[in-house]
Amino acid sequence: MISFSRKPRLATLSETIFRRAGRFLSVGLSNVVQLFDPPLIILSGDRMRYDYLYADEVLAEMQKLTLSHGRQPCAIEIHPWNDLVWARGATVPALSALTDMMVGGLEVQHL
Amino acid sequence: MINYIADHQDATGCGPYLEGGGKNASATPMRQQVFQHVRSRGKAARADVTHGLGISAGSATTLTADLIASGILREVTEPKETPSRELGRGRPRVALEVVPEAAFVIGVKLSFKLHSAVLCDFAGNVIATATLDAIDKRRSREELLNELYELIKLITQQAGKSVEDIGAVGVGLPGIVDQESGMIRWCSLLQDRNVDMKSGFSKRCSAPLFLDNDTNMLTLAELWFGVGRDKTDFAVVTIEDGVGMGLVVNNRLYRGTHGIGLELGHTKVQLDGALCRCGQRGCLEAYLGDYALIREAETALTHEDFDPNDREGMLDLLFKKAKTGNAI
Repeated sequence: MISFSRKPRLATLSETIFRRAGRFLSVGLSNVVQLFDPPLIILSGDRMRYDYLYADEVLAEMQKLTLSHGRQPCAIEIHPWNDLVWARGATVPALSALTDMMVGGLEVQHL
Repeated sequence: MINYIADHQDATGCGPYLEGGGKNASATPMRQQVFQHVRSRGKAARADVTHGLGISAGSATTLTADLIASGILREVTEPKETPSRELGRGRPRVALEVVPEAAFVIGVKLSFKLHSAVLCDFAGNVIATATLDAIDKRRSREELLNELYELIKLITQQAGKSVEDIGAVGVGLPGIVDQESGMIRWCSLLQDRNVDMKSGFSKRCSAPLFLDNDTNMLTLAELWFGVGRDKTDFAVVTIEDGVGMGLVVNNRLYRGTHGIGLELGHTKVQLDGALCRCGQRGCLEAYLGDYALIREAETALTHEDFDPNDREGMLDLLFKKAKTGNAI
């Protein structure tokens, strides 16, 4: 039996909203690859729970928009970290400064 | 190929693997290079240090002896699963490791709704974590400082330490931090521009405070603890309220001149395009950020479907609708 969604048009519309955002992400990522040529781009942040933003089409579009004559395509990884991983990153400047001071014998820079 | 990494990779040691061999290595004292080499490996024998840094065995012995005497490194007997060539020689291999108790630091992510903190030892091991609910509105410097200090007290208590035990505090926040002066030029959590958090913080806590844009902090997390450890160059793109970017070039975070950071979200993708919350038009964020999706969601969803004040709920509903539409 064929079933129809109660609001088929709305469902399609909501999908196009995410897909459109994904295409703009493709443009952004392609610009990053074009300018910096990194071997890896890590995609992260709270919105990574919307899988349209890292669908295969997003990557395909990104590569289509990038001049990459014979280059290895840039690898994309999705890291849906929670805030504690961000907070752990904030320990890095603190650890670096203490390392400079305790190991390198430098004055701690209050930057 | 897109790789979806769900679990944090927990390797031994912390910090970039390749730091010792980078172009900036010569600026770092050899004593510190030895320490950083050991820290990045978790455990390293003196012979590894000699090979890794290209120094003589004599130098490695002198420098490590000095670091041991300073209470920063210590000797540890390697477990049995050392390479086979090391077995059967009678003496177990002695390696060096960072003395974890040499110092403790706290890292904090400040954001709307929830602040998060991690307390680490000197080897980068996480000792405790804590979160603090926050109000979803712009606040004064004093209010934000109070919240920060409350979180620091909470996490030190959980770790069985006191605030005096903390050697330094790092804070990532959504905004622009001038690295020269440490001033917060702009932050979406704060009512004012050009806020000096450091002087207020030093009245409450003796540990130095290090501020940076939160995406930079996440990029450092990848460089020190994540997949970026063995990469000299990589980029991080974050999609949250807005769209941010962090870039590592030659093992170092690239900060630009004014600490504005790499605002990928405000690169223009359309002349005279959609209005962005920054006041300009055509920014990537105006098509990809939360508020861009919400703007569209309000038009697409019917009124009975959502509570206009619940932005998060509205997006989740939109996502659910998109997914259900797909399945049928």
